[in-house]
Amino acid sequence: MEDYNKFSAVILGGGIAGITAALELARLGHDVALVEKTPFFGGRAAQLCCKATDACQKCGACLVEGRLTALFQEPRISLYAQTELLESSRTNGFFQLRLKQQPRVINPERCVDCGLCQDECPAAAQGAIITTGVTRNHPRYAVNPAACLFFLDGSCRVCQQICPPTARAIDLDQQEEIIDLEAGAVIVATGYRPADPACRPHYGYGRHPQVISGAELEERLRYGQGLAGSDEEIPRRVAFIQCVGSRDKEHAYCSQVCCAYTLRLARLLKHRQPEAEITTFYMDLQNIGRDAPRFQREALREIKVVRALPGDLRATADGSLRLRYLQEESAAAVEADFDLVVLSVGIGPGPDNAALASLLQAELTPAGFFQAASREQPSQTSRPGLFLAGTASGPRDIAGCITQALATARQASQYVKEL
Amino acid sequence: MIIAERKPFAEIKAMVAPYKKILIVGCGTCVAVCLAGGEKEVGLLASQLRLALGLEDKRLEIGEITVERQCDMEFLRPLCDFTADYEAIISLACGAGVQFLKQLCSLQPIFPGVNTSFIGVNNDVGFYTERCRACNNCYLGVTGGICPVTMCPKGLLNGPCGGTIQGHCEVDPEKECAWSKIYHRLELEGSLDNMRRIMPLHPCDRSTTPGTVIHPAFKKRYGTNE
Amino acid sequence: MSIARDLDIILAHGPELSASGIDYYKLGLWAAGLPKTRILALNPALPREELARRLRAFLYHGPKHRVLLAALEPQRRALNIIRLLLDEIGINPEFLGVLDLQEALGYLDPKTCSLKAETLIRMAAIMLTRAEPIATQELTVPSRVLVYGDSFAAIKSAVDLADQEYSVLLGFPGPTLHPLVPGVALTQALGEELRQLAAQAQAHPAIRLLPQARILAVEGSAGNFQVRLKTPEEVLEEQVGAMILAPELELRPGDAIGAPASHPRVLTQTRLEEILAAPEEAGDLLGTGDAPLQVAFLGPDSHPLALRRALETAKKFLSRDNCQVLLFIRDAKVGAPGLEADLEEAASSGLIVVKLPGLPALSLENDRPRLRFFDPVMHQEESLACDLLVLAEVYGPGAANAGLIGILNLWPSPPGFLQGDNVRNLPVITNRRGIYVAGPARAAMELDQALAEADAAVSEVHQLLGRGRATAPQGRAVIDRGRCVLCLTCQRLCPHGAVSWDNRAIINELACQGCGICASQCPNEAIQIRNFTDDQVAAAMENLDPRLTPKIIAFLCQNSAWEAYLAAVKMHQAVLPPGFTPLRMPCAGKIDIDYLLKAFTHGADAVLVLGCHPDNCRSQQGNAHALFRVERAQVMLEEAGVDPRRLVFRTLAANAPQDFLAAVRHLADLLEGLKAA
Repeated sequence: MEDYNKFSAVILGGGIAGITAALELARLGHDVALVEKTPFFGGRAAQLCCKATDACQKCGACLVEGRLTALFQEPRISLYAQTELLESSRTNGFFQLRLKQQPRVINPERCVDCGLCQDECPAAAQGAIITTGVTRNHPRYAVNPAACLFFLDGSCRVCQQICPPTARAIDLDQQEEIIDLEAGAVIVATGYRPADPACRPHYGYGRHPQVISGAELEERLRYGQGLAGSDEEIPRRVAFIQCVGSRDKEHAYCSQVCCAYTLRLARLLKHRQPEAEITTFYMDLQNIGRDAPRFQREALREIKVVRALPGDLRATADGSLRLRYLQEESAAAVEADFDLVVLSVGIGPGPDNAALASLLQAELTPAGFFQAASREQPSQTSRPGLFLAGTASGPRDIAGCITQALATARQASQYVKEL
Repeated sequence: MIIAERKPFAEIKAMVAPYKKILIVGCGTCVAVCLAGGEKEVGLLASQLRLALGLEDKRLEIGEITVERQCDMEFLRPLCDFTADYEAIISLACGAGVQFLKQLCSLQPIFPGVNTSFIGVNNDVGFYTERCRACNNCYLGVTGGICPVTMCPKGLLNGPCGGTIQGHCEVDPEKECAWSKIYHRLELEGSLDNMRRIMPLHPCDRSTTPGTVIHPAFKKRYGTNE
Repeated sequence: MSIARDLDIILAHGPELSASGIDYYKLGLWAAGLPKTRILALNPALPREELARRLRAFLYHGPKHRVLLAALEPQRRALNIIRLLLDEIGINPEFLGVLDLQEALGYLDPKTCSLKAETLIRMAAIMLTRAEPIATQELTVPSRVLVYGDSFAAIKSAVDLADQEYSVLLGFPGPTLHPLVPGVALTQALGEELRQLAAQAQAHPAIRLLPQARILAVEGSAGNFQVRLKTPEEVLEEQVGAMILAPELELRPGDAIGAPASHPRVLTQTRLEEILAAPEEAGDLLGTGDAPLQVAFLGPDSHPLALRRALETAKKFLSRDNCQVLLFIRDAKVGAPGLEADLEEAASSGLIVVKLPGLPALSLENDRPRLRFFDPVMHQEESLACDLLVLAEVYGPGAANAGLIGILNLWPSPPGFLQGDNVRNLPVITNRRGIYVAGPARAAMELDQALAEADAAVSEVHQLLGRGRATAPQGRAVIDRGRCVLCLTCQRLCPHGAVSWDNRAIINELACQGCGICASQCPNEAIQIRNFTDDQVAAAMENLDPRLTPKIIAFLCQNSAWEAYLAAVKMHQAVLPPGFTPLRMPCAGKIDIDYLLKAFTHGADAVLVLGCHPDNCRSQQGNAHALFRVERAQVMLEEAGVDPRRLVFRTLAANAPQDFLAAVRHLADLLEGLKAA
């Protein structure tokens, strides 16, 4: 199509890195487009819970909220939700991007977020209408054409009918849209996917409901336990198992964030339920926070750590989970029972990395992340004008994502000015 | 400056409980600086009294005003008309200010809202220590800048008593021995000879009260002869 | 009267709003009945030109109007109206109130919904009609910056600033610029880019190098620092607008294991690197010919950088035949790019990794260091004679840092570093505007991150100084000189170093961050922060609607509690007690103890104070002050015969709406209990 929307930069990915880069570029005077595959902005960092005990544990999760508010008010940032990249080409140094935006069934100007559509949707359990707990987003509901019965076989219009007549916010006949953008620079900030907790099959993820992943624990603490934060449901005996999906043949790297989130979550659980007994099974404890020795000292006062990864997990007759591991001191196999086992999953490459890399002619590392130009230039790729921000290029914590995204934005700004 | 502390609320409440129209007068100098009697404290006391004496009582009226200071009549005079409306007045000034205010408003009872504690220094926000007793015979130059009248628990004017235990006073082990400190100060200064000087005894509590000071340049103005 | 001045209310809605339970027309009629108030109902879905036309017609005095925009989710649904008001009609941002009516929904009884919507509008009107404009002032500031340190972060900051036409003083404690590349052998030659960077710093005309410089004292605040520096030749007094601190890391010995003071076979990592760079001078230390060599690396486990460095030299031994290399560590710190792979590779080349809870015992036997330890894998005591024992070094903070914290009034940080451990500071700011920290000033880190932080710090400096023309608010923090008694309380309490004085206290609005700790502590009420003035708060509390109960007044810090409250309200299960009255504060430190007592005199049943968690306050101490005041107020309330449990203080984070709801529920339950009793 001839009619391109022109931007200084197009940022792929609406998580903390993408948002930070977008805000910085806008501050520097650029018009940017922020493209997000899902209907909602905030990414994974916005799903994390606050881990404060008596004091802040400095995980950085609360830094997303303020940036989201700023994002939605910044006039220089154009937001494209439910949008994916279809094609990419380059002319005279500028990127021509063809994007596909899913049908925008729910009209943001008319929707009042009442939630009736999701309540009544017959395919809600399959994800036909999804919602978000990140309340800055509006509308907070979206139709997913991949699971929606109307889009699959035209058979259902319940949401459109149930939407209050004075709102009339739902129009299933909306078409998907092809959008053409031109950009001086493209920033890949598509984030990561948590490692699959089932990659260690002997931990029984999926077979035992009391085996959950670290990501799920974060989510439950953020939204679950009832909104009033009642804590009767925190189990007494909790085990965390580190390095699930990290430091193995398939993921030959340390994910850098798991020791930190595990011990912070463990302290949170202990703070809420002082009777809890928490054990962390690990290989090597990484440095946590800016005063690592102090954090470790304080955490280890209330959390037991065992340098061994359990070899075996079985359910017992009374419904607990029994873990078997090699005790270092005695070299003997030891068993311990738990009510909850949390698999500390690492940071894995995003599911679309391969497809996206081929569209943008970018390289991937052997582990599947986007390849940076060099370790000294983590924001750049081998293609001038194509930049990286956040966990798209490898494991990073929230603070690291923010710092790097700011640098990426400035480098992109410099690049675009010289185009 | 003068350091004061707000009186316990129970005491203040008891003083003014019988009255329905109460004025609280704050002072914007010493007591404001030591967070005991400035405009904020006036407001806080007023709120407390309203809550304690009855919010529902429609006749209860508590007025609030703060003046620059209460030890200059010029700042108090404008209050004349104001105070007439009230049945009782609480002054948050130091003792001197309370008395001056009373001179102005002879008809109503004046109650002090603070206890005047001492002349002292402002170490940090909310933290004050006594340094001076206003003995009217300062010889800090001789004692290395440490006042034995104030700092020595026994008030010795002429040197240590020999009851020092590890630099602290035998009378009050919490307090450091002032004369030990004076000695070390004089040593540092190089004026250890001062330890031998005898300072004449002088009464700290005057037998003739209250004290009066008239500046020499103004003696003619006030007709005193010297 | 509660509505102090003329007000224009825009109800932004389309017909869909009635779906949410508010009778919009009735609401509009009620609002029209308010004194000094005009109403416009406007559908935000109208085309932009139409919206602009109607707004201009309604607001014919242009920027002078005070406008309250009330709608459901106005920040999202009525964003176009907001932009028109601010950009085209030019309404002063302090005169624009944006009110989300979300909180009025969800009550079962539609009458309560209406009452709540009306109350929300009235409260917003009361506050807005007492707001004053905050102007912007342009200040001429020196476009001179002090960069202190000789790390690459400092060098890059200096060069970038100089390239952007700032005049730079680059001071550092050593005689020459001697930056480290962390994680790499000290003897390794610098890459081309880094070499060029260092050369640029030496030669740049806008950079004045100050070797062997020490900062003696710093006065002033953002945009106007007077720095006293000592060099061997002289003592300099310089005026700078801002400073960037990036003192290089220092290598320190790792944990002591009773190593002998000097033994030729017990080497520090640095010494080993020197020997490997000039092996001819090593004598027979590195072994002769094919004789077996036993090398042990002890304790490179303080940081991934230490491990990286050790592995690099270990590789050189592993590539030789007949060389056995052991690595004794407590934990393998592999949390950095590529380290896990490096460690795996070294292990497959023969590196023996021994993980112990503590370091082995060392003795000297037959002129060879001997290590004794309990091998966890073989499960037996082991004794190992080494030909070379390499002691790890720790990348620690620069020695000069300790003094700097005191001189610059920076908040306490992890030992030796310069930035307080508070996520609000990320990445490069400190409690004092104008003083930025990058790279090794904050922590031991990889070079690329340090350079990215230098980038961020330069950007902050530029945002602040604008090459000599800084913009600051004017009239945001105002001192009434008539009331000020120069008690110095504000100056002492300001966490941002923004207060100085002549014969009255003065606030530097470029350095001020509007937290309000000073204003709420001032004994003579001489300071106001706009637009959160005592006047506005008092007016709000005086006008509580008696029909909405229980009356819970909540003071919510905007950095955490306010966000959590908005999130809680938007989750449709959350219905707050009808009498819940939220008042937004710039920081918990702004919450005056006076407000707390006054709330009860105005009939509040309970008061809730919500601030950020300890170590999470943007002004470091605001939440602490709020807690002190709450506790004092609880004592005063009890003295006055009011149950002190009615005043509650809690901390929470912006992303924890359930904590907010728990606090509200706690109070509601308490009040129920008190009523029943």
